[in-house]
Formats: sequence, C-alpha cells, structure tokens
Amino acid sequence: MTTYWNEKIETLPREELSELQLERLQMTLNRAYAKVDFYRRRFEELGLLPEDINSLEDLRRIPCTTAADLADHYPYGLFSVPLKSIVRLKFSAAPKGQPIVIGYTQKDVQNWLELMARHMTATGVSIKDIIQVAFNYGLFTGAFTFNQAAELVGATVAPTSIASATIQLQIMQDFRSTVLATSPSFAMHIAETRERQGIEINQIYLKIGLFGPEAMSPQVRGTLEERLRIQAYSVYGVNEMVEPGVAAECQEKSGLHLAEDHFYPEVVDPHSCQPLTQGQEGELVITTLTNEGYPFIRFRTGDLTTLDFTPCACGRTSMRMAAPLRRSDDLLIIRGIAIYPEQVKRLLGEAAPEVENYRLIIRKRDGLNDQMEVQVAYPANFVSDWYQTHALADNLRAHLRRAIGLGVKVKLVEESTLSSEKGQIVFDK
Amino acid sequence: MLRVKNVSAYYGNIQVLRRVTFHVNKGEIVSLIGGNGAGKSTLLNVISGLHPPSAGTIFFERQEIHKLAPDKMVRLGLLQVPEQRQIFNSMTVTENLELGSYSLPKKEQKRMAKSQRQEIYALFPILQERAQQRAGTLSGGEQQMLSIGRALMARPRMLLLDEPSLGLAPLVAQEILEVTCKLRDNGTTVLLVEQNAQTALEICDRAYVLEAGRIVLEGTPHELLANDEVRRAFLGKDYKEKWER
Repeated sequence: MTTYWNEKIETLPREELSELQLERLQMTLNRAYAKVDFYRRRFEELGLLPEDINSLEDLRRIPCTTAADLADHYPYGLFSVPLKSIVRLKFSAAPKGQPIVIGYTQKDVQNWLELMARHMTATGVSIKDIIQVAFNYGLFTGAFTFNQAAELVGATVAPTSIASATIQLQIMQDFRSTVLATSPSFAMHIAETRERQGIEINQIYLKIGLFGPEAMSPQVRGTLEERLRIQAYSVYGVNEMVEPGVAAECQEKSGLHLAEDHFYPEVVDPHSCQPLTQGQEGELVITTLTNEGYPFIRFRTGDLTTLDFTPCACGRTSMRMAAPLRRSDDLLIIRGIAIYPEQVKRLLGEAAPEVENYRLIIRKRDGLNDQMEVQVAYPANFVSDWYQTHALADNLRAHLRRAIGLGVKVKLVEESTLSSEKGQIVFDK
Repeated sequence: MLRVKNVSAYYGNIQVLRRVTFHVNKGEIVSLIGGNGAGKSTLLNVISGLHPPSAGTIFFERQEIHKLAPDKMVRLGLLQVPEQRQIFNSMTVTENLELGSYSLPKKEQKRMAKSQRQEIYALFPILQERAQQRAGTLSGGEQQMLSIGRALMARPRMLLLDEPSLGLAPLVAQEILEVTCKLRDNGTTVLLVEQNAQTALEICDRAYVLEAGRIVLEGTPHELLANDEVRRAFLGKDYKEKWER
C-alpha cells in the first residue's frame, strides 16, 4: 500500500492533470503579463498576448528565461507582487556571480512545504520518524525546508547542521534517528567515520536517507545504502526556484517524481533551446504554475535530464525525471556548494590581479566532488621566497572562502606546468 | 463536472473573455469574482448557451455543450438563474414554479411538480405563504427566491447563479447564500457569480478571480482572503510600485 500525503492530487489521472496545468499556466501567464514588465515586453516583442497560448505546447512560442535574465533585473524587477506581500527572500547567484533574489508569498511558502511533505511521505517518512538534518543551514537554505516539512508531516526534527561526523554519529545513536537528510558527500563521510570508530551498524537506527542538492549516481547510492544500511533517495530542487521540493524519488527509486501540479517541465536542447522529443536527454526547463511572488516562465535550470511519462509502480501519476548528474553549463557542485568557474575567475582577479594563469583541480572521492584545488601560476616578477608565496596563497584562500563558503586548497606552481587555456578545469578521479 | 477550456467571447468588436480555462468539481460551490466588466456574467451566459463563444470548448460531465441550445442544457441538468431574477410578474408564484419543470417529461411533470414544489417551499417557506400571489408583488428577496426555486423545479445537477444578492438587503442576501450552501449539501454543484466578493468567499469552496476577461488567481476562500491583491481589489487601491510604504 502506497501512503500519500495528498492522494487526490498525487494520483490525478494524467488527462485531468494536464487540464489543471493549462488552467494554472494561463493564470501564470496572465499575471506575469499584467504584473512583470520583463515578461510583458517579451510578449510584446513577439506580438503575442497571454491568450495566444492555448495549450501547453504553445508555451514553446515564448523564449526561455535564464539565470542571467534574473540577475539583470536584480533586485525586484521580476517580482509580480509588491514587497508587502512577500514573506521570504532567497538569494542565489547567476553564472557570472551576479546576485539574484527571489521572493515568496505566504501561499508560495505553504505550497513549497506541501511539496516537501509529499516527497517525504513518498519515501516512507512518517510521524514516527526522527529526522536528523545535517545540512549547512547557512549555505543551503533548503535545510530549513527539511525542518519545516518534517514538522508538517509530524516527524521529529533533530537539526544537527554541520556538527562533526563524530557528533552526528553520537546523536544518531542517542536519539535513535531514523532518517538522515544531508548531502551525499557528508553521508559518505559519516559512513567512513562510523567504520573507523568501530561503531556497529546495529547501533544506529537509520532507515532512510534523503540526499541533495547534488544528484546521486547509482554507485553512490549503492555505497551509501550498504554502508549506512538505509534506503537512499534523491531530492531535487532548483536553486532559483524552490530547493528542495521540485522533485524526489519514491520508494520505487525509478526516477524523481516531479510535482507537475506546480511545475510544468520541458526538456530542451541546451544549444538551440528547442524542445526535444520524449525520452531524449536535454536541459530541464521549468515553468512555475502556482508561484505568486515570482513567476518563472520557461526557466533554464542548467540540469541535464530525461523525462519519463510512463506510470510508476507506486501509483503516483506524475512524470519522473532522471537524476540530473550533469549540467549544461559548467556549474560545479563541491560538497553541496555550487560554484561557477567564472566566479572563481572573478574572485582571483579581485584578490590578486597579478595572477595570469590558473587551473582548477576537482578531486573526487567515492564518485562525488570532494575538494577543489586552485593552482595559480607565479605572477611575473614574483619574488618567490617562502614568505611571499605563503602570503599570496593565504590571501587567495581566505578570499575564496569568504566569498563561496568552501575551503579550497591554493597552490602556487610554475607557469610551464599549466595549460595555455586559462582557468582549465581538471577532474582528478 | 464542468470544464471550460480556452473560451473567448466578444460583444461586437470588444473581446470580453480572453481564453478562459477553469473547472468546477462535483459538489463544489465555485465562485467567480471580479470587478465590473471583468466578464463574469458573460462567462455564465456562454456556459448556459445564451451567448455564443468565439472560441473554446465547454464540457459538462464529459459531454461537449458549447454548441448546444440553452434548452438542451436544461435537459442535461445545467441551469442558470439569471441576473435580476427575470420572473413572470403577472403570473402567480405557483405558476412561475410550474414553468420551471417544463423540461421534464410530461408524465413526470404532473407527478413530480407537487412534491418538487414542496421541497422548494421547505427551502423558502415564504414562497408557500405567497403561493397564490402575483410574482410582481413580491419583494426583491422573495423574487430572487422564486427565481432560484423555479430553476430548482427542473431538478438541476448544476446551478449557475448570477449575482443572486444583487440589490438585496444584507440579511436577505445572507439567507439566499445560506440556501446556496444547503443546495450544495444536497448534492447540487453551484457556480456562483458575485460582485460582492466578501460574501461569495464566505460560502464557496474555491474561487477564481477574473480581471479584464482573464483568470488571474484561483484559490480557496482562505487563501484568497489572505491575498493582498484580492484585498486591494476590494479597497479599490492600485499600487504600481514594488516598494510600498
């Protein structure tokens, strides 16, 4: 027996679902046209009116929106309600590091929680569970969504944040936590620590792992399930939209159910932005159907995935997307923190304009990005004594850490060891 | 139960409805709210077949109805109670009610009319007292009750109510709305058009907000009453700025 959070909507026949999507899409377009200058201009440039979009397919006539568009209208240009109606702001960054801010109304926040409650219920989380939330609350605001949704479901929340793996394990044993919500990399670290400290698997009571924001490959899932003796599920969100909550796996683990009553998904060719046929891999493009505060029309998420519309054995009728393991842009996710290489370039330029060449080494561990090393070429005429070298490296390390929140290694190397391609990215397996 | 998809309508050259899509589930009271000239009444008239749509489809219980004549819709169980009552002033209350059952088969009409009438009197006791009075002599509220009662004679499965509280004293309006709730509880689905959004939101299950012929919002009364845009619309204020002080 499948347990649902909102059975009626989760099992809505597909035909009715698409009718509901059309109804909500039209409302979204009507509102965006009336309230957001950016979208109104888009329509006007195309000589279209919202009522020219008569079907979900017609939506393709409108061009995609990118993170750069959001940044261009920073801060409040794309809000569709006055600030008074907004209850929460969320920050993000465009590929070049420009800031983005999204606003949510009270209803948006409620919808969002409902989505997470659905996803949690779909993985088997219930009122009996104790959920240990081990995300960095400062860098990943989605952590709060885990808290609130767990409370909505009625489970017990233990927000352990970024306490060390040792403390996490201690709490896990003391509280008998049954659910671990964290990034796959931190879960991996906890698993290793458990083995190293000789804590028996019987001493921890975990049943379920909820993992995000980076996607889990099948190997990573296998390792985590085996080493923590859990069922591991991916939870997916879009940083600029709602994160997490857009999609998540059910107990069948055969793709992530996307909440189609709130989001209309498409898959497009990342180069031409043209829609692809069903089952082809492409970039996920999402139109929000219920967002009041900040509507997104055909927003390019940057995540590469495929969509599967066949029915799922769990009984939910929503479409399933494949875990997005790749990006259409060069966004790097390292230990759950999103970094654009462009951002690193800008930061290096700020801290040490004399640096001419550098490369990024991404070290992987258990199939996950674990560490970034920035190898910087000695600047010309650099007095490479011990003191100067350390001063420069420390300065760069501190500057990067302050800006992106991730500790990185910085190493000065001879120019000749670097490729002539500036800012080359090397994945070190 | 009712599904309206991409419906547009014109009065001459003026487009009143711009691709309206919405639905009403069985057993719900759904209200359409919006300002003057938003297209609410036109939408009802399009659904009941009184005004032809220029585009779009309408399904009533999976049957396409947008090409049917109004009388066919009545036979399907979809009835409109018109704005401003439109009862026959020179006929008695009973005669007005009997007219309502014309769509039923002849035999049934005779058999049913009486019991049907009793049900309506149970809903509106005042109509029984006035049974032999000419409809034109009734008060506004009573006329509205008669208008609804007449529609109920055809035993509709879905009622389209157009501004039932228009021009009525608040207490009478309240009574009409309470009856609407009773009808829903007895299994009749209701689509309600109201200019007084406050009262409509008191009784409906869901509402759609219509603005210049387009649907811009949908939600439960709770959600809509908490929505600043809806609240603002009542206050008649229009804030253009993102920064409000």
